[in-house]
Amino acid sequence: MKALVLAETTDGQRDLCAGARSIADEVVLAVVKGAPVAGIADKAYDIELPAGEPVENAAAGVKAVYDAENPDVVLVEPTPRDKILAGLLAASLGTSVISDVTAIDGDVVTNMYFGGLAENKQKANGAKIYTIAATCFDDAEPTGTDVVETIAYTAPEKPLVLRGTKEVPQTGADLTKVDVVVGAGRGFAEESELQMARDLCTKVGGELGCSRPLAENVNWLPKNLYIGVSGLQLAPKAYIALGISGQMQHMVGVTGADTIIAVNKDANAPIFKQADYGIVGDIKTVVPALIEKL
Amino acid sequence: MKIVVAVKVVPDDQDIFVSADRTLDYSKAKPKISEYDKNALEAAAQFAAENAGSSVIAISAVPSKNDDTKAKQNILALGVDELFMATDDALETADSYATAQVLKGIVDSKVPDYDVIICGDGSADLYAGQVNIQLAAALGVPTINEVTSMKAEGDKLVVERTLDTEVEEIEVPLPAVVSVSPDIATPRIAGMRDILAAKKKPQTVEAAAAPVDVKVSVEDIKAPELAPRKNQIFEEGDIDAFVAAVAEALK
Amino acid sequence: MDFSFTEDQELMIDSLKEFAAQYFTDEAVKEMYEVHHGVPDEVQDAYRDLGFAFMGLPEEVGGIPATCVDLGILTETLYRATGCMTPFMTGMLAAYDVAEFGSPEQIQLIVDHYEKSGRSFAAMCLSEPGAGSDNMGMTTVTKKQDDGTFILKGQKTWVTNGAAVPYLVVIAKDEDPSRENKNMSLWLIPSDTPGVSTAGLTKLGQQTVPFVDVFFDDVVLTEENRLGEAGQGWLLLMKNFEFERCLVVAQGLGLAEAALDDAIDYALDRIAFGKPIADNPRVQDLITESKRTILYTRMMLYLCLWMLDQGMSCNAEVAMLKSESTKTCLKVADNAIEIFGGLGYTEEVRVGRIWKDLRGNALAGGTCEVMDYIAGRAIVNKYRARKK
Repeated sequence: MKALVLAETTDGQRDLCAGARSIADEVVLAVVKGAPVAGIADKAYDIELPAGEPVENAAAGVKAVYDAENPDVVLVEPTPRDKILAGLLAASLGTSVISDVTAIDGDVVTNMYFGGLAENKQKANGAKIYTIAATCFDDAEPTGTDVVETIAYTAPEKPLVLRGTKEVPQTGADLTKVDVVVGAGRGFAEESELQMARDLCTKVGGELGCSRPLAENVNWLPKNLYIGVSGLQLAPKAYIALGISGQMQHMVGVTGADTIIAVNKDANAPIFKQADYGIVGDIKTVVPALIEKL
Repeated sequence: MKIVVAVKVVPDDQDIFVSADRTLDYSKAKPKISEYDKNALEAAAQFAAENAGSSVIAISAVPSKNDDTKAKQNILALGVDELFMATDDALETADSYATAQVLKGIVDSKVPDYDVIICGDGSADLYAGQVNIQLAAALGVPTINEVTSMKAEGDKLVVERTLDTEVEEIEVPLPAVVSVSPDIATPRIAGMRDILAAKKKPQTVEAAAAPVDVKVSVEDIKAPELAPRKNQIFEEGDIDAFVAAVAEALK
Repeated sequence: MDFSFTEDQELMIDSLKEFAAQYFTDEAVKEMYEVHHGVPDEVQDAYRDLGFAFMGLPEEVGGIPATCVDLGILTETLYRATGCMTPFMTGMLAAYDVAEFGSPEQIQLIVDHYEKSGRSFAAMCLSEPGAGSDNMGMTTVTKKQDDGTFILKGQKTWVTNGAAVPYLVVIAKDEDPSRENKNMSLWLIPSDTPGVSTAGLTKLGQQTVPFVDVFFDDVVLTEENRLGEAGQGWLLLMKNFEFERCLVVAQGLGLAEAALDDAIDYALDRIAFGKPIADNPRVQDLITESKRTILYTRMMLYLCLWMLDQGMSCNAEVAMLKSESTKTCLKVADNAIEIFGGLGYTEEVRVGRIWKDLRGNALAGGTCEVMDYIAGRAIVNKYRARKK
């Protein structure tokens, strides 16, 4: 079994190559823009991208790697850019990408349906191309060689033109890397109340994340802190949900947590059915008490 | 500008319930516009308003049970001039390749002279974020995703594309397919005049022109079995016991 | 018989809910009651822009065709979704009267007004300190002058929206204020006409809808201010009483539904004796009684509105409905307070506010006692007529 990993970030390369190793005996890595990380795959492809070109213009290079390797499965880091590269590869092969796969069992893969309300078990009839988060694999160390092959750039027929980029100021931590995550939800009536969630983070050595409405509807927190379907998929040691009702769309992002702790004033909130420890109470009284007593 | 917007009609997930055998029960769930497609509709309507003489054409590929009078009227009440819908029951769980082929069929036969096709971030059911890419490939035009603003410049579209760490300004040669981030526009509330005018707008519903060519077979759709949790729930009065439990868990 | 809503009605309901969700958050409503004592212009403009303010008005004022049933559903949904009193329903009724009885020039004033503002166009000045339902006791009067102008004198009270609108619709006796004189006329008067002044009244509830006394001190009017035919004022006004009562019921129904929604939601969350109080039979009795009221009220309300749409009078029917439902809907809010327990008597939740608002609806558009009198007289007269 041969797996081709298409990844963008260095973490993504490393984690997906490690994951690929758990299902395949041969792992090939392909990277557009920037050199592939060495020593994590049996072979790596550096798909050339001239300076100033957008990543999506390298679709032909990805196809060239696929044709050269003819892998049994393609694992793709679910970034917007690589989703496009994966989609164009699939289209050129006359098939579909299966997106945001949460489990692989032979040819049958699982992803979420209606935001996690159900699991959709499915099978690709042709080429198997999955976008998949690294958290879906058990922890493993990647292994490999330093062999790198370069694929020359072939411009698409109607190329995109990158006029410029500006950095998005990064606020908040990389939640995939912390042991304790505190999640804030709609139970927070005002932005100023988030301070107590931050104070709790300081107290427990955790970092703050949120449910989608807080990052999208009210924009109190940046989008890179939103946990759930199409957001972050986390597996921390502990997840503390504050004022989060526990809708599937959010909970699928933390099902991997060792322990789930919930504070919600609604005794019937679905979060309590998915929590290890919960307290029925107002966050405005419970959170300060937690900070004081912990 | 001839602006096409691709819209999915899905059962309202608020009213989808899980049956005892963990299959989904749709019997109470009425069809509605897929949530983030409303942002795409609004983006299309605003883009049309910014480019005088534009028209907005909605296209949709759905199973016949989602060919719903109210949902169609709703689409046409949100700044859309005309709707073309193709139905086939295989579209309920069809993969993005298959869905894009049906949409391409609509585009080729009904709006071959389109300038841009706008898709939402993802559909409420599959949330693959792939149909825009497949449709672009099928039509042989460029595509981009995560678009948070767009403006027309001659035969090009200039978009702002927002990623986690950077914002790119990208020129997309037209015609093209773009998928927009929900941030691009807040969906409007349909006004009464729009609701009533929608009934008079042209809409065409036809069976999909060709058999739906599914590339991914669905084996099983079932609610997940939740991981076993301790489910120790405390009342507010028992805060000390709760704190002790949390302290233990965080050790 | 078809009990289902049309697609138009369902989409209207969806839009009303979205409107309510956007502009009537708990904090916004609290501010409307406690700070603004009214609905902010931004919200009234949005209501106009979404076309709700034009529903049922004639096309010459940019109206949108709507049946009485449509307008009942609109009102019920608006009040259920916002859970609060708003000036929209009363404003709509006053605009109808002007649109129906007014001259082309007066009707144009409605159009000109809505171009500028989403606020209500006019307020209806009917009740007086000495004459409510006993309308013949009113003493506000106009007297014609030698120069052809009229002098208006008197005081009106319980004028809803009175201080916040550009026009007042006033009913006054012609020439002679005595009880025997049955000739009354309607007048459309700009609120800023010299001699017109208002004084606010404080109310138990409904603080979002300004409520004033209006004083007319030798206000000079001309024939152009007259609304409809001279001497016919009361007959004109009466034409819309049945519809007004329907909408007062629809308001109360919507508010009662909002209270019950909150109460059931709370009953499901609140744990006592180890289980949600919603599972307690005595609490279920309160819920059942409330839900029954809502279903009965809604069925009867839609029947009355349907009768109006068929061109039938629902005089007795709506009088019975208003008398009964304003009391039973108040009981629904009362039950909601009961279900919330001590919390229901605080301002942390809105059921108490709804209870105070609903008490006013039992009085608006005629007291329960007057409603019973109207219904009783109509029923007896109908049977008496058959005996002949």
